[in-house]
Amino acid sequence: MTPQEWLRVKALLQEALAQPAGARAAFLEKACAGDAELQGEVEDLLRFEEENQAGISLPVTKWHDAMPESETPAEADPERAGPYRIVRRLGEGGMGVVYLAERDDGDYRQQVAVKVMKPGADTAEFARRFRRERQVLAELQHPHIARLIDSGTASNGQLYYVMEYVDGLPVTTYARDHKLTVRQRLQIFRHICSAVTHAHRKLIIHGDIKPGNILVTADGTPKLLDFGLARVFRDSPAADQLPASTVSMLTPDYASPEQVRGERLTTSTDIYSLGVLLYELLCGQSPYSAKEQSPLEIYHAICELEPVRPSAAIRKSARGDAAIVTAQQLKGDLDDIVLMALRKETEHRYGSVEELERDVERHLSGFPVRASRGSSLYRFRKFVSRHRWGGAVTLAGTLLSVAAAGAIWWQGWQARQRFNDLRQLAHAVVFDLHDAIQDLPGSTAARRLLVERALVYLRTLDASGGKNRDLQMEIALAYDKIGQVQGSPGRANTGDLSGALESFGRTRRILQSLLRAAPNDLKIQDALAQTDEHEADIHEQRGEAPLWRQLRQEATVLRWKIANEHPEMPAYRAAALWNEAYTLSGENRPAESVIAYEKALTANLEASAREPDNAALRRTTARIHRNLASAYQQTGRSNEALDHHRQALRIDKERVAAAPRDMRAKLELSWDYTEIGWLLHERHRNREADASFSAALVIQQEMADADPQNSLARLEIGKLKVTAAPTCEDAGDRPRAIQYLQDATRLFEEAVTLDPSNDDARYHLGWAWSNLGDVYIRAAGNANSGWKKASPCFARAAEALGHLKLDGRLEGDLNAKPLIAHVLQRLAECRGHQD
Amino acid sequence: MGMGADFRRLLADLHKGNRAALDDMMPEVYAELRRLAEGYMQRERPQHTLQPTALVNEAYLRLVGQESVDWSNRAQVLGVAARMMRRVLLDHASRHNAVKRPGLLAQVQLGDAQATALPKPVDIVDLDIALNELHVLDPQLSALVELRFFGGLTIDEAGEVLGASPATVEREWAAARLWLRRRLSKDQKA
Repeated sequence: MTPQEWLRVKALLQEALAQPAGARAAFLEKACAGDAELQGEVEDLLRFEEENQAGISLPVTKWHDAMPESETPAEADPERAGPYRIVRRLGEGGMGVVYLAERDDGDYRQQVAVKVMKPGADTAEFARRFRRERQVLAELQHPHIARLIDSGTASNGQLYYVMEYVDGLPVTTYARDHKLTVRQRLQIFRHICSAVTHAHRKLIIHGDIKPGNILVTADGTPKLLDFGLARVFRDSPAADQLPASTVSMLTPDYASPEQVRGERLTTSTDIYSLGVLLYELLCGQSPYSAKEQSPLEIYHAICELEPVRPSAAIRKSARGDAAIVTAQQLKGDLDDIVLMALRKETEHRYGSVEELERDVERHLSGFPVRASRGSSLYRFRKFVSRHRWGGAVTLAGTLLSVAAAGAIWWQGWQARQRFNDLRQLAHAVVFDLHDAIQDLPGSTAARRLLVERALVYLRTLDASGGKNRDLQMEIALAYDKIGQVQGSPGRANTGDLSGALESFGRTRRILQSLLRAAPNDLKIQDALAQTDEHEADIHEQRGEAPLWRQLRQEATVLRWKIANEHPEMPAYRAAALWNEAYTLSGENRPAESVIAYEKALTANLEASAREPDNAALRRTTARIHRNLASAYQQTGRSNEALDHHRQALRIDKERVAAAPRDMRAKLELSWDYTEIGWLLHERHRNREADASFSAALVIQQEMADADPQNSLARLEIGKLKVTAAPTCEDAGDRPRAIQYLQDATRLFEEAVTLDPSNDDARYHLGWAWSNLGDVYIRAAGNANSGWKKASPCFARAAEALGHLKLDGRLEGDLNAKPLIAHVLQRLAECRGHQD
Repeated sequence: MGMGADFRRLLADLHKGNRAALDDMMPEVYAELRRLAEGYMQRERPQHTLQPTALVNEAYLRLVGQESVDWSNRAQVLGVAARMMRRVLLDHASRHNAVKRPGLLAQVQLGDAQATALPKPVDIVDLDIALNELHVLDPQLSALVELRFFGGLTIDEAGEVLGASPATVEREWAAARLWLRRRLSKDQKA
């Protein structure tokens, strides 16, 4: 079709749409005047107007009137639903119409509310949801929840169910009309809380608590209606609260920040809505002023604005309620209770509806309430989350409190649905949240806590949920994450290498058994290769060469298997080549590793060219450059080495500029500066070398300051200072060299104390002491005084190095033997000078 | 936020009638949306849905600043955001398809308008292809769909951006809806 033809079709189509449905065919017949092709085209398009619109999930954050609803002709109301005679319509929702009905067999008369599934809404999905709501209601039996009585199929073939008919007023209207005192209002509120608590114990979140869903009968009994907006479906039998649009979504006034953002609902969402309800019960108005009209303003108000304290709100209000409820009564406890329920962050609200209810009860009996105006801890947390970690920590807290809410669910868990909910939650914590914060400063402790908490849930799920493959996979990967938090080199870690090995071992066992069941699964292969690499890193740090070699080989085999199965993915080939090259350089075979690294670099650049925005590939490119540089260095080609280090530096600078809070990128940038500094030092370009080292030191100091828990950052500073000290000395600044070495010994001592199995730290400790001794000797111009001062340094060096395991030490790794020989010789010389 | 200050200057320019300011906003809007979207999509699981319209709103608030919300050019700016959102989603989809990382693709829930306009959640890439075709046929119509789907603009707001009366936009929207439904249901059969 050409644009010109389309314009004709469109014009005709629009005119046809303006006609009543019945008149369209005749209109088209006439308008097309025998142009069968044109007529066919328009008719074809019109067919899509008739398509069923059911079964579409709508976003929670819907306030716009997207478009006028297509006119559905008013369906005739059914006359009967089973034994119930329909009396009149009470209200209408997205999926069903609610009627008042009567059962009149003989002398037994009963008024009920009957919800009949809407005609036209009879897709399988709707029917399923309808049945689920019925199921939910059947589970709930509470004096303050409208009861499910019956269900069946109505005379027009639609599903229906029968509920207790509540003849009452919305709770806020009731309170106003009956001029209830504060105490009476709070008593009613407590009943509502007990109903919601009952639902939560049955694993049901109401999701739409608002006055229109809480009716109070003439005798003053509140009843909670309309369960399951969030979990089952949305609609409201309370006609007076229904917005004009038939697609009635959340009532923004009562929606929590997490609902507005479209996040998953938790029991805390109901707590928030109860807070809004209590606010309105007490001061006769909503916590947010009615001025906010547009979706953006409402969004802003709910997610950002702190509500006015109820006591302050009532002082300003000129409503009739003010006479009964005074600011004096609300000031203090009630202000605090309401605001605590209304906190933006779920973790700062009450932990459960029960807690909220108990606080109301405490207030009624004159006991101090738990709600606080914001303790110093609360204020501190707010400050921290605003200033240091951005949203991540708040998010972490949120998820953890969701996990706590999960514990409530636990008690009564029956359904598969809840199993999956909890699993998804743990998954989100381990995989998304951990990854999101792992490169943030100061997050080491938080990461460990997160992963461990999530693991508890995963294990519990595993114990009760049978052997679920995906779940096993997640447990395996959770252990891998824990291992990384414990001791992954190049990442912030807590320096617990033995713990890390144990965690990786668990991962491996699970993955291997999964792989036996599905030998070609890419995900499992990849995960296993990664775990091999992670574990090998730990063995490298501990100097276990055979174990290191075995794991590296296993990872290489897996990586090639993946690459060969996916020849279209250069990234996989690059990973396999890189893996091979890395192993070769670890084996101290630099010439071969240079060739392998060059191949890996080519493959990686090819992959990177396809995805220029892929940050992980960019990082890999920088890492290969760095590896290649040290391989060239080992073969004596320092020009190439310097060149590759500068390439890595260029990429890492870009990475840091693009993500200034990415700690890993910063750490790697500091390595680049360090390596370049060392190469320049070797060429006696001391001024440039010193500048490069200083740049590295600034970055590393900043990282260590940001995260006192990060032992890796401290270890790195130590290594950097040992490396930079000779440059200071050559540049004529010996006092700074001494200072650097003293700092380094202190930092390495700390690392060794933290983890006595950390040979890397031990080796560097020996090196630092030995170098310090040498500097003292030079400083004294070889005089006896210098030897005397140096003697204890060499003794400390020997002590540190004496604990190293030298058998099976990787040749390319810690080259400790020459250092030990040097230290032993110096010790002998010291004795000579003392005599 | 220095970024916000820059953006507010562009807004002020726009307010003075400098339409070119809209183009200058694009990179910043794109970057902001991308940052937000990546954040959400990483958090989201396949069972969840991403709501671009909510993102557009959030990005708008962040860029324009909380205190000094200037409503006069809101529709225009949201229009830019809608266009950028489409790009962000497409970039994300193609990137993740290329890397073949299972489980990372969040289901995308387009604007409210989608609910009534499309038969069911549509693959973002298919939708993009369809919109490109529509652009050739009727650029005004594809622009309208973009505003409604990716920016969540109302009929009135879309009219403001496109310089058309609400009644016209309404008629155009009805036609766009049918065209898209037919186009995408063809895809599904194929």
